[in-house]
Amino acid sequence: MKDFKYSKDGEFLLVDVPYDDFGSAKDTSKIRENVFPGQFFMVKTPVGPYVPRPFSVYDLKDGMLRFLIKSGGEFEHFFKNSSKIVIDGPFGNPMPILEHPLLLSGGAGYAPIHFYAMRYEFKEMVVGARDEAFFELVDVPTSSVSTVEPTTVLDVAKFSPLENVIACGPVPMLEKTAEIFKDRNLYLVMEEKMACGRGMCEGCAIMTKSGIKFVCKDGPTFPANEIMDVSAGHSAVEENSNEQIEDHDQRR
Amino acid sequence: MNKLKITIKGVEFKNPIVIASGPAGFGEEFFEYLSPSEIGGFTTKTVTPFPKDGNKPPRIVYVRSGLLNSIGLQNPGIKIFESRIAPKLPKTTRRIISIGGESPDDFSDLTSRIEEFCDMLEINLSCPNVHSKGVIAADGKLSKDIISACRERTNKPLIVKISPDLNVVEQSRVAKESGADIINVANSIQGTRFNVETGQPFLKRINGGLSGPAFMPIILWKVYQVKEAFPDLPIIGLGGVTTSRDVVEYAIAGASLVGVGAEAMINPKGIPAIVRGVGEFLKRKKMNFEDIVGAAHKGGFE
Repeated sequence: MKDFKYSKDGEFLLVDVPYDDFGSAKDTSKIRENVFPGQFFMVKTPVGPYVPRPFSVYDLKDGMLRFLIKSGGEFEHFFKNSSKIVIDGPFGNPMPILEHPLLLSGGAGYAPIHFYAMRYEFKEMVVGARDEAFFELVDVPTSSVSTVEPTTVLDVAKFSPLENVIACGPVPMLEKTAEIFKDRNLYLVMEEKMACGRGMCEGCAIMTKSGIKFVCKDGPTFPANEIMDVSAGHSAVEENSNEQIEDHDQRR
Repeated sequence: MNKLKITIKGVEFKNPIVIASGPAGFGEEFFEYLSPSEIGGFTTKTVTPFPKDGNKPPRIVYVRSGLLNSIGLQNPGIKIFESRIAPKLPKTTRRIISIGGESPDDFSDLTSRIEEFCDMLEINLSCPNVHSKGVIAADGKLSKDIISACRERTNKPLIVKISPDLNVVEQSRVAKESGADIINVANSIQGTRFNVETGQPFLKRINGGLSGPAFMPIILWKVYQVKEAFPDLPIIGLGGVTTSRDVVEYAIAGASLVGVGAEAMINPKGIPAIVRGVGEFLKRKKMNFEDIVGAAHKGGFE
């Protein structure tokens, strides 16, 4: 069973998947305690992709997990042709609960930020996207600021005096965030290609000041001053570009 | 009677499914998802003389029906392995320890230090992601010296893991003549992909090893070739297994044990179902696993 909705421009989609892993809790309202903001699931359909893709949880409400996904990847290709979604998780560590944090997101990076803000009722948030269509799809608390290009999240956020900051978004945005907030208590939610999602295969390596760590097992949220090179994730994240072209060829 | 049982060089495996070296690490996380008693054997990640950080990220690229990896033998080195990891390897499955290095001395030293902790040793001559000059298996003389050096240090069965990018029959001949007992066919095949937007490779190291069902027919053929050339040499068939049917196919081609790599990594909980599926197949065919090994070389099932 799946339920989904695309943004008007087709760039993003929200996917709902029933989540019935009650753990030991009999009361379904307790389910929320098993999944924390910052954690992710490995997601696929019965027909593919071969390697499930990691997606951060956007929301968990009434036994329904919600994911915010950027379209154009291989997952979406299979998703369109399958009525069922298979999830495995949750994996990864929860985002640290900070006091009065400033939350920053760009594009699909809004997923963990949204879940974090909803769960802990945080209100100081700047959410960036390429255009308005994004904001017609996702829900953004009225207390937060939304930006669309050419205005960026950081054009607004740089004026915030808050000490604690968490950011998730495209690599160039994270690089700039690390630069602007280098003297604050900044955390970055990182992305890297994963295969197992559970710390075995050592594929999602990230260089930190205390040696090699793994985005799945040690992250995905890291203190910014621990990360050696934020830009290292560039080419991994841009891989979608090839898949988009293949998808375009098929549509013609 | 257990139809899945197979004995190789005096070591009994309760079923022919062996977890390949790499994707399941040293088992710490892996065995949270299944009991070691459900699989025939478990191969550790390759251990080297010194700790290795592995390659710079990105290390993984998704491809249709598979993936390319460039991990680079990241491991804590023999010192930590022999003191903290090896003694804890589960004894309810057959323990295969994979070793890697540069010289015959590296390999023989590792052999002496780990042999008490395992049921078989696997000599990794074919990791595509470490040596700038190529895999060790490309050098017949060096391969021979390494295998002979290990042979002198242990009586336990020696597996040699060969490369699918080179002549598999020739590599198997060198391994057999140098004292190897079993051939693992094969490591991942080398490949790459480029980002069409930037014109650059996705992997920092350009090339990586392809695994997953995309390359199963290639390895199946190589298993067949080795079995045809050396009918008495036991083979571990490794490459792209995702179902019990794949396991049976490998046995038909000539594999006595069947490795599971990428699938163990992405769906560890699904492994027992693969084992069960092979059991059901054998029951339906009224055969034992040992009977179907190499069936393709005898004109199929009798």
